[in-house]
This record gives sequence, C-alpha cells and structure tokens, in this order.
Amino acid sequence: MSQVSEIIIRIGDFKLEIQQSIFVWLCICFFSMFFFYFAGKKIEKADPSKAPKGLVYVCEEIYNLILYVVQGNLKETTLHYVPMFGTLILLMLVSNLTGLIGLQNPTSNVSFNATLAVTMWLMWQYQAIKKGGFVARLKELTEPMWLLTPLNIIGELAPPISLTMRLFGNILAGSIITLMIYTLIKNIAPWGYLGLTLTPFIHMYFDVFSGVIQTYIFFTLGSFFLGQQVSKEAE
Amino acid sequence: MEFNQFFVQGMALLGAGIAMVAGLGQGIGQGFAAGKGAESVGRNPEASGKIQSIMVLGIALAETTGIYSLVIAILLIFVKG
Repeated sequence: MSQVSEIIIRIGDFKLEIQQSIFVWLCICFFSMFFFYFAGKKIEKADPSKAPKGLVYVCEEIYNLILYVVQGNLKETTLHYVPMFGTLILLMLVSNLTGLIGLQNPTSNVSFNATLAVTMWLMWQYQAIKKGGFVARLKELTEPMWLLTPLNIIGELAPPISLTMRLFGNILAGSIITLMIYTLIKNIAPWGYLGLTLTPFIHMYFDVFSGVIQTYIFFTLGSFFLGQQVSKEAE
Repeated sequence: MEFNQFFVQGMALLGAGIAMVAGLGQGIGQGFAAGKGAESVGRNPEASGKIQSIMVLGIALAETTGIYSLVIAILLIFVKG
C-alpha cells in the first residue's frame, strides 16, 4: 500500500496517531450524524396521508433496504434489533463505497472490521443469555455431551474471526489490485492512458459490486446467527 | 544455523505463492454452485429471485477459504517480503 497521510495529535507527551482509514470513518460518522438529524426533523413534519418525496422518500427506501437484508432471518421476537443492524449496515455500506472517491476504505483496516464483528458477537451472546439465563447458556455449551465442550467453545469463537477476515480480505485485495492497475497505467504512460478506459469497470467490480455483496453477506450471517438464538426456545 | 536475509524474503514470497493454491478449491466450489443455480433456474424460472440470493450467499461462503489464504499471502508479503 502507498504511504497514506496520517494525522498526529500531540497533547504534551501524549501522542495519538489517526490513520487515514480511521479519519475517513470519523468523517463518515460526522456527516451521517447531520444527515439523520435533519432527516429526522423532516420526517416528524411530514404528512403521513400524502406520498413521501425528497429526503423522506430516500429514508423510507433505506429502511426498506435494511428490512430486505435482515427481516428474513430475524424472527418476530428479535425484530427490535433492526435499528442496530440498520446503523451498522449504513456505516459499512458507505465505508465500502469510499474507494470510489479515491479515499482509503475504512474496511481495509482490520481493527474496524474486528470492531464490527465483535459488536455482532456481543449481540448474539447477549440475546443467548437473555433467552434462558446464564446457567442455561453454560449448559448449552456442554451439549450433546460434556466431552464436546472445547469444540462448542471454538464454534462460538470462530464466527467473528471468519466475518472479520472475509470482509478484510475482500476489501483489501480489491484496493491493492486497483492500486496496482493505477501504478501500471502511470508507469507505461503515455500509451498507458488507454488503460483509463478500463478503470471504471475495475471500480465497478471491486468497489461497488464487491462492497455491496460483502455488506449483504456480513449482515445476512449476523442476523441469521441472532435469529438462531431464539428459534430453539420458541419452538 | 544463520539464514541470509534475502533467503528469508525469497522463501516468504514463495510461501505466499504456494498459499494461493487454495484458490483452486474455491474456484471449483463457486463454479459448482453457480452451475447448480443456473440448472435450478432453468427448471423453475419463477423462483429465480430467491435462487439468486441463496446462490450469492453460498458463493460468498465458499469464498471464505480462498480469502483466508489471501490474508496469509498478504501477511507473508508485507511482513516478511
């Protein structure tokens, strides 16, 4: 990867380095905060008897999109997790698409992905404990026999690592390949400028297609595991 | 036994290349899933939307092993190479 600009904050002896990917993520949070504040004000004033238009319509479509991803897997008892999923889906979708404007993807930083995956993992565990109490949860780990307890623990710990690595590998590989192609175009100039006709397709595949598909996979799996924590008890 | 720095570097890059052999199984698996998806759409064209979403999910899950090998290769290249 090329050396990216880093922001270093110094307070006395304390030194805080903010990498470009994390800085981009903070900017996304800042802008989405304002966007949703104003959207919320608009929605409060909107007339429910008329067809929505403008910002209200956009927000309704975003809500439908989120429901399309998670509604099939969340049962009725866990449908109150939708706002949480919606926040994370929007955050990750916008993060995956920042490669289009030439910035570094926040999702190509492994700590960001790990944060998302650990958030999902905590949600599953919280739901699992809430369902039947802590003791019942520990008993569940010894099923079907006590010898299998280590395997069950590994099975509980594997999904967040798998989610992290899948997202990280996909986005990092995409950004590295895009960077390599741009370097190639730069090195074989002036004939290389013909290659610029190729780059829109590369961005289409690695940024738009791969980013959207990975978001879909991540949250389908996340909501699937969350829905699983309920169905056993309900049935 | 002391190893030359360049020997370590070369071996790390070689290891990265060998790690990517895992792409073989991933490619076969994804092709198999896509083929079955096309077959089932041919048999039942009305359900194409549902088949497509399940197929994409399965393909992305099959991609996991390939992505693991990719992460290992990237680590070898950027840490040791």
